[in-house]
Amino acid sequence: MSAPDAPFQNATWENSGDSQTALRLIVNEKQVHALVPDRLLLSDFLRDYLGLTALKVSCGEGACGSCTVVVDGEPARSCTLLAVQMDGTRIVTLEGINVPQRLNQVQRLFQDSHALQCGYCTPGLLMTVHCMMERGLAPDSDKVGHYLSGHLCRCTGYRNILTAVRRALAGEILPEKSEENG
Amino acid sequence: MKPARFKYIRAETADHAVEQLCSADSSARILAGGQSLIPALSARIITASLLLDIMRCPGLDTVSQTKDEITIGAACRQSRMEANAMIQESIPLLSEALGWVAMPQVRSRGTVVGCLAQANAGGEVPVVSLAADAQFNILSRSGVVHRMSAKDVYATETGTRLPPRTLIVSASFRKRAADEGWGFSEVQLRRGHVALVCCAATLVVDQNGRVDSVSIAIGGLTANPFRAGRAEKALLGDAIADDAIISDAARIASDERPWPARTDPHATGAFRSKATVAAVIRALTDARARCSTNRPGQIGATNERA
Repeated sequence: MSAPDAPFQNATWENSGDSQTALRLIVNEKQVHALVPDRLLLSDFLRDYLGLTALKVSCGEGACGSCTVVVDGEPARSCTLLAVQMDGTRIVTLEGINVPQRLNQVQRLFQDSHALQCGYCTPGLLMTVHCMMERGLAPDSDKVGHYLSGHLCRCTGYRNILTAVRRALAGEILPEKSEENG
Repeated sequence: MKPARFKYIRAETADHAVEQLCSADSSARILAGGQSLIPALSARIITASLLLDIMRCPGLDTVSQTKDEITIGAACRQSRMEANAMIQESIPLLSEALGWVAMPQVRSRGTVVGCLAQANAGGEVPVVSLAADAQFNILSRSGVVHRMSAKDVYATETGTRLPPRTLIVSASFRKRAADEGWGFSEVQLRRGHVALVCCAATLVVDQNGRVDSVSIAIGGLTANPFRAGRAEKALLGDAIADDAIISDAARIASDERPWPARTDPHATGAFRSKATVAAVIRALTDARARCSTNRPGQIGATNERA
């Protein structure tokens, strides 16, 4: 692990005549300084420049939620934001709340509730759930469905996701399974 | 990278933004939250030579109030405004409507005034701006701010009548009168989807239960929202307790649309016309249930968002 204030290594950018703008922000508690093309989307910046590939790009127009990250404490679509708009913000991606090589509590509950199949929507969902938990949302709150409406899942039919999220919001703790480390 | 090339500038002040806008070509655009603009650029439905980001301009991120109105700055985000106590108290119609704008993950970045400027068909905030007699505060080059009513801004079938090369620095909404009821209703295909149709209504009744003043604004039926002036006039002086009075007004409102009913892949114009009647009935019924009380969220409303 690098020091918290060490800048990320920037991907090399082959300049093809794009206007570029300097950008300073905090991603997963690390300072990031970069010079990026003005038209670069935040999702592409996080994935291609910073190597944070947990977020997925799916619809690219803000409908599906698979690219959701946390910006200044609120869930947001990284595909409908420009990287340059993020100057001065604090961003958290799934890498920032993950336990390396293991599953965090919410991920265990997703696994236990069969709340995923292909897993493509899961990283985005986990960021929204993270914000719901930070806000202390009650498991039976009407807002739970409201937040989840920002995510499309084509595998599960949503019931199991709702179950997992409610268990997480209720503060349920699952013990680590032995095969997780295998 | 999906959008075509453009230049991005972080405007230092509102005046700076207008200055830049005036010296750029006509495809230059103001960028606020960008939740409609960026997808449109990504899909290359539009292209822009220049994007002027106004979110860091001093003074644009504030909400202020006078005796009669609340003014919301151009950089105020929807999620913050939805949770703002002053707005919940004085423009509850707006708080409720914001709960219908896309999803929380979009409202966290989108702005209230951006919604007004973008004027998407079925957009909730323009409809509220009509019902709440909003005034747009528009900055032009010489540093002059002039006012334009929502009614004037949307008095065209598509687009807006906003003057070119100007910036809406804020929008001022009329505060709710102490005894005024309000209702907002929307018909969606699924939660978080765009409105097929939506309706915002306000209502004041006298001691005898007769309509003293009423506003009905409708969105989604036509490309731009409109005030149902004939339906409003028909209701004045009527006994609001009579459900048939409300149904009649809803039919008048749907029929008096100034432009053709919109047909798109989600719904036909004929369906939208029917859905409008239902939406107006719900909005007026909610407004009636909330009359003569100072407390938002009064029981009896039929359209509370789950």
